Amino acid sequence: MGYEERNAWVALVVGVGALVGYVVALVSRADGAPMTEVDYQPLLIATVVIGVAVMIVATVASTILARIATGDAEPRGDQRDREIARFGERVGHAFLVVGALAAMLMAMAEWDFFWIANVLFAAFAVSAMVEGVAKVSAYRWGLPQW
Amino acid sequence: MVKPTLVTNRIRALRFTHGEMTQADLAARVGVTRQTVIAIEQGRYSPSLEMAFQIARVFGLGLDDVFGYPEEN
Repeated sequence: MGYEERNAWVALVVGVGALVGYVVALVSRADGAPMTEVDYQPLLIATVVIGVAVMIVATVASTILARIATGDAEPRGDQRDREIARFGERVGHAFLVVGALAAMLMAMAEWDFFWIANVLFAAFAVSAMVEGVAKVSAYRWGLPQW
Repeated sequence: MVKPTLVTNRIRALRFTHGEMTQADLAARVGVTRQTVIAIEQGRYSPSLEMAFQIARVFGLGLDDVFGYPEEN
């Protein structure tokens, strides 16, 4: 597995873990009460900060371990990696746009800040996950032709 | 499953007839990762024209001798 493919896997696993962890923590904090009453801000900020930190540490660790194990001196990425990165970003971007539009409409309709913030977070998380799945699929089975 | 590319190649056979060149050797000479060479050999990635020329040049052959494309019916 190459450097960029490994990073795609790391991002996907960390992204899924962060979203699942956040939802579980949020639901357990609500404990049957309405979601809008949950003090979600610290949880959301912690999820983002921890998620980014774990992603950085995991990426660095996996790279170091791979270099130690294989003594690999290959280039970190090439044209195929760049094409796959662009493909993943393009696929993931669509979900970010949908989430942003939804948040805009919710703000205009004066929804509770809880829902607006969480729709935006969900859009980031789903966008990252879809991007990760698209990249991993492209690495495993090839880029789709169109 | 739809095959990602219709481009075929003889890279694997050519590697063996050129001193049993490894995928890593070919990758190093073309300046790509070994995974990319594997993906091209398995038909999971269609290289750019420039990369295809570089690969053909490693074997001292023309593009048509390394890569193929099916005739239209």
